Amino acid sequence: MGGLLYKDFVSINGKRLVWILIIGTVLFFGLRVVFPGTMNQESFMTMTDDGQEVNILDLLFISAFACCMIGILGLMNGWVAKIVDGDTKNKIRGYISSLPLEKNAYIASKYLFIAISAYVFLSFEMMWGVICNAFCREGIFSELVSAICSFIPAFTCLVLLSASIELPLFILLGVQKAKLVKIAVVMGIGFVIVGFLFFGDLNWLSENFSILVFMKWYETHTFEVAFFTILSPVITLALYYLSYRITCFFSNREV
Amino acid sequence: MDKKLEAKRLFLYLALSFFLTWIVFFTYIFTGNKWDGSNPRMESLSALGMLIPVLSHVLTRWITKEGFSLTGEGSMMLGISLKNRKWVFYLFALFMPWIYFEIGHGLSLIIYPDLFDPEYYKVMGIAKNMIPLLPLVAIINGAIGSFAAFGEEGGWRGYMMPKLIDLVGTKKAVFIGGIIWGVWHAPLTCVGHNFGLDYPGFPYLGILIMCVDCTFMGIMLTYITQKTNSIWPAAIMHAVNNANPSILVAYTNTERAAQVMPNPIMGFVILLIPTIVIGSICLVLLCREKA
Repeated sequence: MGGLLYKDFVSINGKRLVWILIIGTVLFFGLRVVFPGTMNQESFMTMTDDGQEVNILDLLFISAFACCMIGILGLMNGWVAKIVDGDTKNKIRGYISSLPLEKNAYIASKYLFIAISAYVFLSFEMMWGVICNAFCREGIFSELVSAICSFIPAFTCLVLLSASIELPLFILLGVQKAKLVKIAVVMGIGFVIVGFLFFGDLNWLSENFSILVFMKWYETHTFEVAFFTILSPVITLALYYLSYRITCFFSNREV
Repeated sequence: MDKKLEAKRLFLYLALSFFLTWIVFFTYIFTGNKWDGSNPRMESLSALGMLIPVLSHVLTRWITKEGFSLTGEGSMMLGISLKNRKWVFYLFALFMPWIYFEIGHGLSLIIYPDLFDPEYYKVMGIAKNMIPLLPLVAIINGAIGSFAAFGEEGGWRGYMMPKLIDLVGTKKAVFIGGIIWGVWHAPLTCVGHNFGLDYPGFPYLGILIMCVDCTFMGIMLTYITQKTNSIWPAAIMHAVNNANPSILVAYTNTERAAQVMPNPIMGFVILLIPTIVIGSICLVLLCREKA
């Protein structure tokens, strides 16, 4: 199993990625120390709509943090295709099936690899949140980082849910067909968004999607947020395991 | 095993761990901060300090050319195995903090009934319907976001304890390790972490009690680490412990401690009793195993 996991690690250029993550984190930390939100330079200070004094530097770092989170979602989304595609090209799957490994070891390794990667990224995201917050000016931005951090587990669940749909597709249907299905789904979502932009109520969007509205909602819905925080990982892990069992079932029938 | 070399490695690890962490802690203190209530900034700064032990572990291995094996003898103990009933220790890690915190708070309320405040959750800013979920929130958040606790456990249980056990034996090691871990927290204890600033014997009594807490908590963590050959259960347990999983905490008015107790720190000592009992049982099991 360790070998299979390492193979997947190599296929996504894992070593380079780990170095990028470590160097990026150190750089982020260094910049945050040099430019803390507590810096009282007038050119960095501004007011929010409700009269709170905030530091632009905080906003800059929080934006970078949020962009990194979204970037990771995109990055991990491409990994399922990458790790299965590499095996198909090199005919590794057939070779592995001839080895004295457990019947479902190959499928288990894929699921395990994505789960471990999700955990590693979750930890890095939490660390970035901690770095961001440690040098933040007290107030709305500090609370915003805490709010974002409380959604990181749910965000990671999204990655796992997406993988629990993608993995069976890529393993059972093959890379080409699975890619077609994926493109169809992404295009469908894209059409819905474009449709909303053309025909939807954009005023509603601008009124309801601002930091202040989000923070107000977050403060008044602590129970729902906590409940969601508890339930989402449990449900996601259950679905992820179910997806694994389904893939194993159909894969064994194919053989 | 070359004991001299192992001792040198251990000292290097301790020097790095204390020096680097205390830079973070003292930066926090000398910029005028005190632990007078929780806010995200303070929690983040202490979480940064918690990452230093594992960083020191890696640095020590790198400097002393000890290698970076992930599993097996003398490794960083990063593997996960649930075989041979090892999963039991993961359950222990998830639920034991809930048990000893609940018993601890129960004991506090039995010994000092005046601490009971049916509306204290409002002061804590918790909605009433959230109270039954508190332990679950702590457990799940602990299990998922255990990276900060991993930072500490990767160093203390992943490097210091195996070396100490090899050098001085299990019994002495757990006590020496506990004191080292407790002293490591000293700068934060001096600015009010855990015990506040206003108690007789400040800050020495606080540091002493922290050492006792760290010793017995450390015994439990060492026990599950040794049983699973992995630092993950310890990291999970530490994270759940830090989240203070308890329902009774919402009804225990700690602000009344100064009026109802001879020393407000007594509240923490009572809370510590179940930890000491469970830690002692783990110590017996640990020593029996090693013998």
